[in-house]
Parts: sequence; structure tokens; C-alpha cells
Amino acid sequence: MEKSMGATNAKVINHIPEDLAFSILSKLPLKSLKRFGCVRRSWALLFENLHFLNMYRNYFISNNHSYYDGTSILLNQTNNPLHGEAFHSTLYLLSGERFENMVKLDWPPPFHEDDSFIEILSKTSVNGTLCLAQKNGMDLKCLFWNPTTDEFKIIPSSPFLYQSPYMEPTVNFNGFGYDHVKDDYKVLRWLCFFNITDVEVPWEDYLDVDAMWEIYSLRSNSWTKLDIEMPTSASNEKLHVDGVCHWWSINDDINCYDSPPRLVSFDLCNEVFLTTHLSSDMIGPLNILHLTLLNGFIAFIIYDQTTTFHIRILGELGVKESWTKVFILEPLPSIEHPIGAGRKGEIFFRKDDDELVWFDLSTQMIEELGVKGREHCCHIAIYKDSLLPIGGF
Amino acid sequence: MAQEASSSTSSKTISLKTGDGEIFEIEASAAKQMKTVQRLIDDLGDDITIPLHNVFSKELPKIIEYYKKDITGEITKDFEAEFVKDLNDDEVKVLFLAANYLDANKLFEFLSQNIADRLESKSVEYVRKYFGVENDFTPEEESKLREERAWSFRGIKEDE
Repeated sequence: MEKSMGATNAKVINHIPEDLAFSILSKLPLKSLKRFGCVRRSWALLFENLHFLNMYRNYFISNNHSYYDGTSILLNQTNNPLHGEAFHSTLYLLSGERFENMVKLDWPPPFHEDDSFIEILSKTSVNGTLCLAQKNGMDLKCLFWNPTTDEFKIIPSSPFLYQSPYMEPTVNFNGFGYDHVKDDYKVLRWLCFFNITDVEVPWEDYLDVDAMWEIYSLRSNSWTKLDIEMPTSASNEKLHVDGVCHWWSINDDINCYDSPPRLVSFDLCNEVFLTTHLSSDMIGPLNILHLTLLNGFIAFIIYDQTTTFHIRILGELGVKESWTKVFILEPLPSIEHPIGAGRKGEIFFRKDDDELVWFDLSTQMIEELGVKGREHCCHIAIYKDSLLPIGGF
Repeated sequence: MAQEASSSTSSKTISLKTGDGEIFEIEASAAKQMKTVQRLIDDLGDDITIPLHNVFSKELPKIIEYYKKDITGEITKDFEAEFVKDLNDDEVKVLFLAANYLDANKLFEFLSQNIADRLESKSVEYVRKYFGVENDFTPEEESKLREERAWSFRGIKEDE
């Protein structure tokens, strides 16, 4: 009697029914899921199976990455000025389950109340410190700031900016982040130079200054030239996760010639980079890309100027086949473009009437924040406060 | 009418009988967390020994242990890690299927996460055997798919 029970037991427990299998599979990382697509036919098409996709999405949204522990959301908003008005950028700290609390923070000196186009570099904080950057024509400001303690530290000017009196630099900030090996804060920048027009350059003073990369280290308090050929950022979407700065580019490695769009990932510790191309179905003449971090994963929000937005999550850095379409948001009428992602599957957008709103991936609800902003001039950053001094040392 | 006579629900125990004939006691509040058990109690009454044909004496005590901790609110990450530490992949699978049968959601979700963690770096063949599923690809289809998804095999030992 017991023997046959044992045999039946073994037979019954060997097979896991598909809907139960999905409960397990939906919790696997993308790399494993793609490999297990080779187990059987139905598993090769998991992401086209609506039942599985819903389980995967629910788990993705509810599984809070530790990156977000104790964080708040910063909204960096720039107004859309009426005739005669000036631009100005306002920083808000958003808190509360539905962002009901919006507290205005004052920009630190040397910024003024009515300053505009201040970038929170890489949309992140390191031990409570933000890196703020601003380019206003010839005026270049870059500093570290802890909004909780109000401490700020201006980053000194780079010796590479004015190598020739006849060449004017154009600066592109690409990233801010933390090198855990050296316990150092770093800022990454790309410079290119143009001849100052209307000036006759004496033959003997002619100096051709090539575009170059430079990196600032807080520990050494200086800029160093980087001997690297890497595509510079083509947009304002820059991220920093685990010591790696990410941005995307349509420039080739050296100049600003058009190249297929790709993700560039620069490791602040060993100062090398990796590019990840986009799969061909992500690129299209009408497709607009927005790079963001969604629940700790690198993702592109892709929209084609209709009311549909797709989200592709990167399965593995460097692997263009691993961009997986996970979310489809539609229809989102009157939504013009994303401005960033929050902490638990919220995506912030700007509407065509300038209203800034947030979309909850789990409930599919859209709510207004109560503030308006100019297109492509509003951004979200993830901030974790700290009382530590800047640099912690 | 029975309310005054019997003891309060919190200290009431329910008798559960496994498929291999053993009987275990569980507190009524813990039984509530297992929807299948609760449904049987609703149908049969709480004074009768509840028969659980598809759960056996090897698994049930472990499941009872989990829910004993749950009703006192003591389930922590450390407890969960300890709970599965000495179980092999097949033992976890049996518990997982039992949790499904009992409709014990919290345990089910925890075990499915644990199984996912165990399977993350495993080979395709291991996963096929584990889930007890047949390979329905033709050899050509399979090799084409493996080629397309070659990146997902990097660093994975195919014989594990």
C-alpha cells in the first residue's frame, strides 16, 4: 500500500502545471527567462502570453529594488514663459503616497532664485549629495550640494577649457557618480572646441584643439584628461547606478556624426565604457526615445507621437537582443512626453497643456501634480537624504 | 449557540489528516491562512478531522511551522532563509505544490521566489526535468533558438 502511494506521489510531483510554472518563471531575471525559452515551445513565447506577461509585470512593479530605500523624488521644473516672462527653474521635493506634498527647495548659491536650466546630473544623489550643472553661454557652473545640510562645494574650473585664446569650448556634462573602489565622487564631461569667429588667428598661434573627455575627482579636487574615445550624450537623460554612468547617444565615438542610437555605460571605477545597441524594432523614423531607470532597471520609454508608449527593459548590458518589451501604455491621450520614473513604477509625464502628471503602472491611473512645465525642460531625480558632509570626508 | 460553550477561536485547534494517514494539529487562526483548509472547515465543521489527500506527513509539519510563525507576525527574511536552508530543490518543489493545493498564498509566493532563485543559473535540461515538461522543439528549431539567444547561455554550465 505504502509503496504504490510512494510511486503515485513521485509521478504526481514531477510535473508542474503551466500556470504554477508561471508563478516561478515570472520571478526570474530576463537572462534566465530567455534561456529557458529553449525548454519548450510555449516558453519561447512567454512575453507574448498575456497571462504570463501580467504576472511578470505585477511582480516587476511590486518588487522594490533596494536602490530606492529611503528615497524621495525631486522634480526639477522649468516654466513655459509667457510673452515677456523669463525662464526660471524650480526644485520641488515630492513626498507622500500620491505626491501630495510638494516642498519648494531653494537652489544653493551661486545660483539665484530666478536661475534656469540647472541640471541635476545623472538624476541621483550619492550619500545625500547632488551634482548641479549649468551652462549659460560662457557661464559654466558646477557644484556639489547637500540639500539637507545646505552645504555646497563649487567644482573648480578645468584647465582644459581655455587651451587656446582663439577656441571656445562647448561643454557636455555626461555623468556624476561614486567610485566605491577609491571612495571618490566623480564628474564626467566632454569638451569640444570651436574657433572664435571674427578673429584672425596669427599663423604661429594656430592650435587645433581636439574634442576630449575629462573627469573630476573630489579627492584630488582636479580635472584629469581621459584618453578615451566615447560617444557623448545626445539627450538630457543620464543615469547613475552602482558606480556606472549611463546615457545614450546618436553620435559616433569621436565626433558628432550621426550613428545608430546606443546606450553608453561608463564605469567610474576602472574608467572604461561599454555600448549597447538598440534592437532594430526600437528605432524608427517617428520613434522618440527616453532613457530612464524603472525599478532599478535600465529602460527606454519609446513613443511614436501617438497615444501609445512602450517600455523596453534591458536584460543584459552590452546585449542588444536583450531589450525586452514589458509594458505598453495606451491610450494616454494628451500626454506629450515622459520626464522620468519614480520609485515604485510611477512614470512622470508632461501633457500637451504643460501640466505635469504621474502615471501609476499598477493602477493605470493618471494624476496631476499641480504644476506646469516647459517641454523637455522638466526632469525627475531620485534623492536619498543624508547628514553626511559632502564626500563623507 | 455554540459560541458560548466552545473556547475562543484563537486557542481552538483543528485536526488535519495527511494523505498517508497521519494527524497533525494546527491553530484555527493558522488554518484560516490556508484557504483550502478553511473551505473544508466551513463545509465539514471544525470538530471533524479535516482530510488532506494531497498533502503528506513529510510536508505538512513544515507548512504548519511556517504559519505558526506567521500568526505571531514573526516571519522575517532570516526566518525564511533558515526555513529553506536545508531543503533540496525537490523538497522545495513538493512544499510549493502542497502550498498551492492548500491555497496558502503567502507560503506559495515565498516558495516560488525561492525556487526562482535556485533555478536562475541552471541549464535548460535541468529546468525541463524539474518542471517535468517535454521538449517539443524539433532539433532544428531548438538549435536556431539557442543561437538567437546565445547571450543568455554565457557563463552557464549546460550540464548543471
